[in-house]
Amino acid sequence: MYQQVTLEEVTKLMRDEKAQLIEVLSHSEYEREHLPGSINLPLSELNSESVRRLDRERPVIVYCFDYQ
Amino acid sequence: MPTEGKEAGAPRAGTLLDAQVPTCSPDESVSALQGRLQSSSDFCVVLNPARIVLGLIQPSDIKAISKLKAAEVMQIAPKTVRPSVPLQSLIESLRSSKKDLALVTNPEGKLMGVVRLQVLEQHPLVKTIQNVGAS
Repeated sequence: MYQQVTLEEVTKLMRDEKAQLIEVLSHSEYEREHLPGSINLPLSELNSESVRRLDRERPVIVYCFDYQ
Repeated sequence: MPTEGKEAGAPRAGTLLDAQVPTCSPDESVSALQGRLQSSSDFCVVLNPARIVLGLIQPSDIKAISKLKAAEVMQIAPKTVRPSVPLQSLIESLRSSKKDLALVTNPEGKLMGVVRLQVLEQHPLVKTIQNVGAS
């Protein structure tokens, strides 16, 4: 189940619950700029194998470009 | 939030967009638009009720006939860019396509603002990038 979170909630989740931050943009976009502590998992590479490194016990926050 | 990476903090379209954009509905009459375009900026963005971009109207699009509606004279599918586009590549793109401005929209096509080539080229952030590239 997923929900949209605010920037404030992202900060809180990372601080209090050690949330895993995932950037789903391409490798080149990740190299250009990314949030500190984020893991790069491009959408095109997202599958049952690639997500195995994620900890199921911690929240997962997925982000992309969005200036809203 | 602070960012990391080779171009962390580099200006993007979303950094310099102007959110004050003249807009109109597709049903608005050209005669009403003519007065607005003369008194304000040199273009008008045609939006649907959900603020999704439908077209762009510039003075050259408005001829003598004023009985038409905005939808009948607008340029369909104007150039749009996402706020994440790096300014340097945006400047190059505008120059190569000989456009003065680009509409900035979100992934759903909703208008966020406009970036003008003249303003981009004069901005200190962009000038810094251009100077570094030239050295």
